[in-house]
This record gives sequence, structure tokens and C-alpha cells, in this order.
Amino acid sequence: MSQAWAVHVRRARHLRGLERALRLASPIVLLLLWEWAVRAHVLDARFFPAPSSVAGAAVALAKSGELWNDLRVTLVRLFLGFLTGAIPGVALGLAMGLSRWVRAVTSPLIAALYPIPKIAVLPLIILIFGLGDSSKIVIVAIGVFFIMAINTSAGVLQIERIYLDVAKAYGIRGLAFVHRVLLPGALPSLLTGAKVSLGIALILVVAAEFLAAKDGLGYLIWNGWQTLQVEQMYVGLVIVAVLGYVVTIGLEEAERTTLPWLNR
Amino acid sequence: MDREMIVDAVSKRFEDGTTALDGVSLEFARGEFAAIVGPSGCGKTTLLRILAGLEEPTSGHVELAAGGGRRDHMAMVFQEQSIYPWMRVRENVAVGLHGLGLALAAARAKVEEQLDLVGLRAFAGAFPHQLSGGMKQRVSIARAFASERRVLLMDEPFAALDEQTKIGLHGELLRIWEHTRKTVVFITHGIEESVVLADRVYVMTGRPGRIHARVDVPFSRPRDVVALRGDPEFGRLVVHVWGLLREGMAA
Ligand SMILES: Nc1ncnc2c1ncn2[C@@H]1O[C@H](COP(=O)(O)OP(=O)(O)OP(=O)(O)O)[C@@H](O)[C@H]1O
Ligand SMILES: [Mg+2]
Repeated sequence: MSQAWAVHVRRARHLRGLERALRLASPIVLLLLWEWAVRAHVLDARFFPAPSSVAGAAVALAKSGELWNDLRVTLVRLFLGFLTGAIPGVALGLAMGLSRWVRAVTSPLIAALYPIPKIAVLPLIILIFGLGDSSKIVIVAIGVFFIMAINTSAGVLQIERIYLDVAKAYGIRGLAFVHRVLLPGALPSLLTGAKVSLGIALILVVAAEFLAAKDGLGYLIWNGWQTLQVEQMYVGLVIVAVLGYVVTIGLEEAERTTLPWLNR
Repeated sequence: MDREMIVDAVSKRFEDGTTALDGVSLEFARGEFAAIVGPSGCGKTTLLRILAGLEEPTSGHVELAAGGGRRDHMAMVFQEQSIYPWMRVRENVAVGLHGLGLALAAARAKVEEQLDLVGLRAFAGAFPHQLSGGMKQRVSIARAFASERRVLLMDEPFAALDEQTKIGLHGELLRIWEHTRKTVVFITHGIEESVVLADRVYVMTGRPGRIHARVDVPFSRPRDVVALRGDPEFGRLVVHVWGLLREGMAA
């Protein structure tokens, strides 16, 4: 390895490390600023309790087991809802990307249905699926479904024609074609879809838990408001934020390590 | 000599009205090495895509002595970058084995063998973005050889390579060809390259592409791709083909 190359590699590694450190540091800096602002009476502690007192409330909730239960319940709903929406969404997206006929039939429907705010359909979903887990899973699934379908079909349409020609020329068809050519070719767009839809899924599950639930992080926040326990509200809000953060960072890290060819 | 395939009065007109090929008729013998030269945009790639079964002619047809679909018998080396960025080198080569129904061990051995031939064994585990342009092209050649198909269609496969690698691969290609005796249709801009490699050189006219002339290359096999260039007959043939090409462009 030449000297110049070694320097270049070290520099590139250094920059990547810096980027990662910045990503981790920015929320921490925000929390420190907040704590300082409350103590200096810049922020009103009745509405914006200091991170330290929110942390105190979190510890209490964690000790009683309530917090873990709510977190687990929400995560399960999120996960099941995501899968229930993403699997048919990706399948429809693949079909749309491959066939102009499927596109002709489905794209006006998607264009009409996609912009309806999912929260506005929530009462209807609750009416149909009741107050249990299934109404939350369904509302998450609906939100995820559209985003995954749209992103997958866009991803397939972006695959360069030469890659489809190679598959044709060497007789790669059927399932092998889907999993060796279509899915990896559409993967960048698919991952973007997964990131966006997980964010939306989190919003939807919390909103659904506001309206009709006896547990979950949304319930924790709503209950905090109803009983005027502002710290408890913040515990819920912060956990939702952390969840969003962990999911996004987790997906990006997974992408970096398992799909090296994406980081050209 | 046994006949491999017949191209009978093939014309191609694209949807936008471009006529790329106009009545091309050719005959390829089994095990023959044919080269096609012609000006840029004259329809060489279009012709090869039709032979490969990736495109249908507007009129005329292609007939195979072996029968069956064109796609089952043709292995194509594409002009542009065509290996999958999401597969490692060895998986890309294994694409050529698709449908051969080899057992895993046999498939692995075959991939190793092809990678050895193109000098990329050390890069079996690399991803395409870690390779140079020439190395990617060699992966795509290995993929075509791995497929064990009767006819090898090569669309300017060495155009992106430096002169040294190119001459090295000429030797390799001929060596492999001599012991497999596949039928090869080799498209190139390089007149010298066509004379070094082929038994027959077809010269095409400018667009719409037609066959302007056919030149038989008399050199015996096996050929020494370097020594051959010193042969006075070689120089004479190159000039001859060059003249035909100019004539065809004016036609
Ligand atoms: N899908 C297509 N639709 C419309 N026109 C096309 C299409 N493909 C090729 N052409 C046109 O057909 C003509 C022949 O193209 P082709 O790619 O076969 O040329 P070529 O001889 O391979 O050129 P080069 O030596 O530069 O590779 C060109 O004018 C090109 O613009
Ligand atoms: Mg071409």
C-alpha cells in the first residue's frame, strides 16, 4: 500500500468516525441545553420539566413495571403492523414495477387513497376492529402499505434495463428473478420506504393509543395529560423520540454493514 | 461444415422510426469465429441483441440449426457495464450457470475455473465497485464462458481495456476458443483485432446497417496474437478491411 493511499484511507476513516460521533452527539447536546434552560428559568418548568426530573419520573415508571409494559405493547403493535403492511406493499410494488397493466389499474387508486390522513380513518377502523390490538395493527399496516408499495414500484422502475436484459439472456426467471435481481435492484428505494414508513408507523400507533387503548406509549402520554402528570407525558414523548431515533440509526447501521455495495 | 445459424434478411425499425438494420443476411458455421466491424451507430449492437433473443426483428428471421429458442443457446457479453453491483464477483460469474442444474460443488469449481482464466481468482469475493472497468468486463466474459452455451456473442468486449490487457485477453480468448470451439460472433471497432481473432470479418455500412463485404482471414490456427501482427499479409488485410469500411460508410 502506498503512503498516499494509507493517508487517504486514514482520512476517510477519520471523517466517517466524525460523522458518526456528530450523529450521536447532537441529541445529547440538545438535552444539556434544555436542562440548563430550565434551571436558569428560561423555560417554565410547569410545561417543560427539566430532563433530570423527567428522568426521575421515568425511573419510577420503570420500577413499577408500567413503562416496560407500555413499551413492549407498542413495539409489538408497531412490528406486527409494519409486517402486515410491508409484505403486501412490497408485493404490490413489485407487480406495479413489472407490469404497466398492474400500474394502470392500481396507480389511480393509490393516488386517491394515499393522501387520506390515516388518523381520519381511525374511528372507522376502531369501529370495525374494536378496541384491542388489531385496530392499532391495522392502522399501522395501512400507513406502511402505501409507502412500501409506492417506493418499491419506483425502485423497480429505476433498475437499469441492462440488468433486466442480463437476467433475460441467462434465463433468470420467477422467484430467482425476484430475489436476485428485482429486490436487490430496488433495495435502495425500498430501504428509504422502510425508514419513512417506520416513522409514520410510530406516529400512527401512538395516535391510535391516544384514542382507544389501555396501554402502550400513546396511552402513557394521554394518561399523563389527563391526570396532569406532565413528567409522565414527557417520559412517553421522549421514549417515542428515542424509538424513532434508534429505528432510523439502526436501519442505517444495518445498511452500512450488511450492504457494502450500497455505499459506493 | 455444419451450419450453426442463419440470419435471413433481418431488418429492424424502432418505434421512434429509426431504421437500424436493413436486410442483413449472414450465415455462421459451427465453431466459426466471425467478427463484425462497422461505423458507430450502424446497428451492430442491435443485430447482436436480435441474435441473443433480446429483441425481435421487424422483418426477416434468425434460424438455429440446433432448434429451440435463441436465448437457450446464446451467451452474451454486453458492450456496457452489465455485472450486478449487488453480487460478489463469484456470484456474478455464477449467473452464467443459471439453469445448468449443476450441484453446488460442481458450480463452485466451474466458477473458480472461469475466474482463473480471466485472472480474477483473487477477486472472487470482491464487489464490482471495488474493481476497475477492465476487471468488470472480464467478469462479464467469465460469466459468458461459464454458461457453456453454443454461441458466444461479444459486443466490443475489450473496448474499455488497455492495450496490454487487451492483447493478453486476445491470446486467452483464442486459447479457450480453440479447445471449446464455440461459435463466436465478435463485434469490434478494432480492425486489427478483428483480423487477429476471426476466421471471417464482415464489414457493415453506415446506418441503416447492411452487410457491405465479407473478408476471409487465411491465417492458420493456433495463432500467435503478437507474432501475427508482424506478418506482411496481416498488414495487407488490415488495410483491405479499412478500405472496405470507408467504402461502406460512403455507400
Ligand atoms: N431502443 C432503441 N430505440 C430507438 N433507437 C435505437 C434503439 N436502440 C438503438 N437505436 C438506434 O439504432 C441505431 C443503431 O444502434 P446500435 O446500438 O445497434 O449501434 P452500434 O452499431 O452498436 O453502435 P456503436 O458502435 O456505437 O456501439 C442507432 O442510431 C441508435 O440510436
Ligand atoms: Mg454497440
